[in-house]
Amino acid sequence: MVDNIHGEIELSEHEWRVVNTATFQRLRSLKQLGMGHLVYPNATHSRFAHSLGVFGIMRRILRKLREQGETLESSDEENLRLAALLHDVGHYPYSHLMERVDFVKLTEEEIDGSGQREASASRALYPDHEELGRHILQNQQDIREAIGGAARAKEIGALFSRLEVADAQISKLIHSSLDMDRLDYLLRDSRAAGVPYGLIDLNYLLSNIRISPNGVLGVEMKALAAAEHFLLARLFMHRVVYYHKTIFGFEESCRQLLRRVRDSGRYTIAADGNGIRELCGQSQLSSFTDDYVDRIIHEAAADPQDEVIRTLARCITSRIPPKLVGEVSGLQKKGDPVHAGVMFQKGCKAELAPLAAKFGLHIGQFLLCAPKPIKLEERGALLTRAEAEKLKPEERDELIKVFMPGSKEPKSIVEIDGSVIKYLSDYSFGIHRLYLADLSPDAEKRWPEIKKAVEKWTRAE
Amino acid sequence: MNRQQIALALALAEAGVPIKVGHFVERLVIQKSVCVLQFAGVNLGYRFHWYLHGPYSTDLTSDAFWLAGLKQEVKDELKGWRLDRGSRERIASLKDLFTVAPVAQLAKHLELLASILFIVRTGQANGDDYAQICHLLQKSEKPFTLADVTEGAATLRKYGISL
Repeated sequence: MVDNIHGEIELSEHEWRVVNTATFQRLRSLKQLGMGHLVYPNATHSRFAHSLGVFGIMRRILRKLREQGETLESSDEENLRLAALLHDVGHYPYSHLMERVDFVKLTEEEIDGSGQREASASRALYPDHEELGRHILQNQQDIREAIGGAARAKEIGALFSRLEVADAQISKLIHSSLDMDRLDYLLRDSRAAGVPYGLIDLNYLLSNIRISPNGVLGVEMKALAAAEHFLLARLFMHRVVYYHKTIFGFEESCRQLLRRVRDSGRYTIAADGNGIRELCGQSQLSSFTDDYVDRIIHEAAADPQDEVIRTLARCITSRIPPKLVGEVSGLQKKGDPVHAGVMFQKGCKAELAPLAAKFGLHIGQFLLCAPKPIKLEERGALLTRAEAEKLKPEERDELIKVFMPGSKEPKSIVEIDGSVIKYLSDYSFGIHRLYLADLSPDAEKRWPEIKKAVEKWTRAE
Repeated sequence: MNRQQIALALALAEAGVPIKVGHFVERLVIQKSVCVLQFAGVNLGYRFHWYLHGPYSTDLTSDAFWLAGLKQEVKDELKGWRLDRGSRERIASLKDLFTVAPVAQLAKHLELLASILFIVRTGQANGDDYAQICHLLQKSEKPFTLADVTEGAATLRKYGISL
């Protein structure tokens, strides 16, 4: 097939059978960028296209390694390709909005003095999309048979979830520092949104990879700049697209809405992880698309009982984004607990309740958020450079590795003196925001006063 | 702090596992404690993969470092929060698992238990196939014998953690 990012992608007959199952075709109805299309109109590309893109990259990497004399069993290669193709088969609607609903903190839970709050670790959590993917491969007959039976489906699921004890080195190719997932989505999201920040030099990176004698994947030194750019591209795509103030406002509204509707017990939404597994293990899987969430949002827009649910839903259905009342963002030194973002959060928590009361607003109309800081190197820990250097091999597995001239084994990019990542790795990019979802007729009239109040106490010493 | 970090801090406090990350064994204790707790039904939501030396969660390392760095901030944030009763009771019933001293011994003990659980619960061996479990562990360069695995499995069953 022809892909707008990678060009022609060749699939075997077996792989076509997998793609043509209803289970895999479901991915056409999941938008890769969640609510990104509400700001970037062409950002409607699907998980389907992304999955094929990751598959295409895996094919290129395997071909490159074969050219270098690396031999894998053909069955292992087939499994790796299938794992790449199926890595998102368990994805939830609207990207990660629904997946993490158990960890959404409602604004009233953030506020000081709001009484005893309970963190439940007894509820069956919504499974993450990898676990759900494994569940789907085992329980959806069409894809299980297309893959080649239950045993093979289990093997593929273990591969993309990195569960295999016996073949840890094989699954490293999927989860290596050169993250195939990221290599595709940065390019794809960038092109779809129409911004240049994710346009990485994929060809040069893939032309300069190799595996060390110890089985570690790395890039040649001459591709260091391309590797650095790859990491920085992620930072800029977060700033411009993934954490765009309007997109993020809609998505936070949706997150808080989904948590509220689920907790209300009045909506048809899986009550817990067992409900999700049941839905995805049966014929209802085909309905578990973005429409599943759209239906909930439209129903919630007419909620007869809860004003906050109604307001959050109507923000989305009317495309009236919650207003950004205050924001603190910028590079923050890792491990530094006292920085502007923390002070902003403290101010919000202390002052939001009286502010809401003064204007007759429900505290839940304020959305206090701090998305995960954007790290510049590994996907994993928010570590300082000194901490990263102390990590044992198993802990630093996901750091990008670079082959220094004359060295057999690659070094982590954070250890390379000439790399800008070494110095930037002491920092992460943090964003702290406060939004207000207010659709009442008085919204415009009270907005300047609310904004002024927030500016005043968030800048207070 | 998000809800996951709050639940993590509360659960480790209940289990008596200090949030210390300065040394590898301390980080190992946190990793394997959370892994065991999750398999025992305390749902903290960390995704574990099999790394070179056993089940490991990168997000957990991230959160553990962050919590360790905050100290007083953590105490302030946790004010007014508590873990649900069911989880507190479950952790209380398991607490002895996390109190073997010294820390290096505790780390090794928990590594065995977490690895056995991971292998069995991910379907890579049956719960009573100690030979296969041992074989997989040794293939991963883990120095555990068949006797260790047998004893580990018995310990897990004793604490009501099914294999």
